[in-house]
Amino acid sequence: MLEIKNLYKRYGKFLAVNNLSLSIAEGEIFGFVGPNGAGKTTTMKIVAGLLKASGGQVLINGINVISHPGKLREKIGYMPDFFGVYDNLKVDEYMDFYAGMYKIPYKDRPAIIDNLLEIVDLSHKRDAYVDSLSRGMKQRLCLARSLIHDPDILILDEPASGLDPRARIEMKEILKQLRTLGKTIIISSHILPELAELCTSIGIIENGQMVACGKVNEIMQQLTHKRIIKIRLLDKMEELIRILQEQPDIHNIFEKTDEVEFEFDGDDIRLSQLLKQIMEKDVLLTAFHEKEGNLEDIFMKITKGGE
Amino acid sequence: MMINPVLRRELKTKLRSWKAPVLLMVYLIILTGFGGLVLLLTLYTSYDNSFNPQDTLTVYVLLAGCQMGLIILLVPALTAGTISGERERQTLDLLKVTKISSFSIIMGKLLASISQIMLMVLASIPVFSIIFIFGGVSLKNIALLFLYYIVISITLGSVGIFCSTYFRKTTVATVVTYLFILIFCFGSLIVYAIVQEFVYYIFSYSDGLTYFQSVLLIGGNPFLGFLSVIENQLGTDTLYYFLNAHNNPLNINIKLWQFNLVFNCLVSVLMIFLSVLKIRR
Repeated sequence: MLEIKNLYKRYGKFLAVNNLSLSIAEGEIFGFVGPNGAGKTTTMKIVAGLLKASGGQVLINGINVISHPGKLREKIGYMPDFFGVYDNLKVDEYMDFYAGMYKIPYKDRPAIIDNLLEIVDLSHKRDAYVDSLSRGMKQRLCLARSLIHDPDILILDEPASGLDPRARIEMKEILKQLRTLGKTIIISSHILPELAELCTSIGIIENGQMVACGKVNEIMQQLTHKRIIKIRLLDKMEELIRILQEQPDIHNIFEKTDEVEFEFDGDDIRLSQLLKQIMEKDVLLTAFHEKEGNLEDIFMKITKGGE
Repeated sequence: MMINPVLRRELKTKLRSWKAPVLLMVYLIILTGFGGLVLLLTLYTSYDNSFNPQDTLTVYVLLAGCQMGLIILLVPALTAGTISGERERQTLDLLKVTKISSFSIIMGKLLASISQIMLMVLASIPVFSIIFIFGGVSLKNIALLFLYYIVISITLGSVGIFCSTYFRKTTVATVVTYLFILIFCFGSLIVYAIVQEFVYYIFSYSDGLTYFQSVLLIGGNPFLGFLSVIENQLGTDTLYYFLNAHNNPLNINIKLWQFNLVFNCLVSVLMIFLSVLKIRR
């Protein structure tokens, strides 16, 4: 569906994007992760046709859109990280304006606008002035705007930035709904746990280079060789620690007041044997589970920060 | 037929804001006040306290000049923020990712600003119609004058849009547009005076520049263009001497206002072309 090959973007001596390549299949939600200034927005702007690449190719269904910008605009819906709205313009007029900008015939517009406002849950605000909407509503309206021409690919640059937790959840629900509509979505965000839940694959970018790219689980497995097990208990902490220390496949035991965390090298059978052994010693447990690795862990392991 | 969406939105939002009617009101108050004042002064300064219909022409010239001045002052203010404003509001990228061309964006912006000026010019017709009561000015004259207003508005507007495209901040774009127009209006006069002196004293050409050379050098000046339109209507010949019209060996009879209209159109095309190039990048 979307393929980026050896992409470069140079600003004078500074290389913002350095030989970046990635491939995103149809219907995927691709999370673009990286520290500030890593080159995420630059890459997204090149794919959206807003910036010219210094080198490389952006292919949509095999067509290089850098040399065919017209085709690119039909296929891509873009939502920037920061955007403004117009004064003295109502929600439905705002949508109608962008429908006009995509040359959608007048007769088709009401149905499209109704449908999109319903998706982003703004039907009740269609007569409100856009500048009077809350930040979350503006973000949702901008998302609806990016869908006005029914693009195959959506590029969303930090769609949840600056939103309160409720608005973030609402945005996430809308994106899940879009996934069911078969849209290919490229999304960047600093709120990594949200991406992990939403994305089918991720790309981690640092200093303009792709440092890891693939399915979330695959990257997680590559990086986290050891399993982290967490136990919560009511009593017999010393007994539990003694049992754990006797095990050859347990390392780095970390003790808190009513919790113990440790690294475990064994498989599921060994894990169940361990649980049985603890229960036989009458240790009263309230929880015994494997701690999920998350995107934040991966991100911190892969990226070097501002070094 | 689909109306340019940028033009449609601009007109809608402009006319919905309180600024548009207030601007129109202030414009008409200034124009009517000035016209009324001139009319009264003309009446009271005549030695026999009577109204000489010939004075209608003076009122017409002063009123037309006032309108010209207002257009020169207003057009940059209305156009210099069009593209830079989109950039400052962070909406320009949203326009650029759409299917509409950069040319349509620029033209939509320009036409919206010019439409506002045209609304003011049209609203001033009743003020000008006072002159018809006394006669002396034909409808054809008024039509030519208003055509000149339209052309000069488009030229100044395209300069404003050009500056708005090249400068990121609206304040900078506005200042540069006014500077541009100041040079456009007075710079050519200064250059003309210097060249004329140069020709007289250095080369000792007693006849000075030929009419065609003069027109080429100064024909783009909006003030002189306006004066030429007026003089053409009144049948006076101040510009005839100013431009050395007696020194016309090639016998070129193009009038200054005609050259001025062509020049303005060329400047507009160039400014729009450069703006489109810049926004496309």
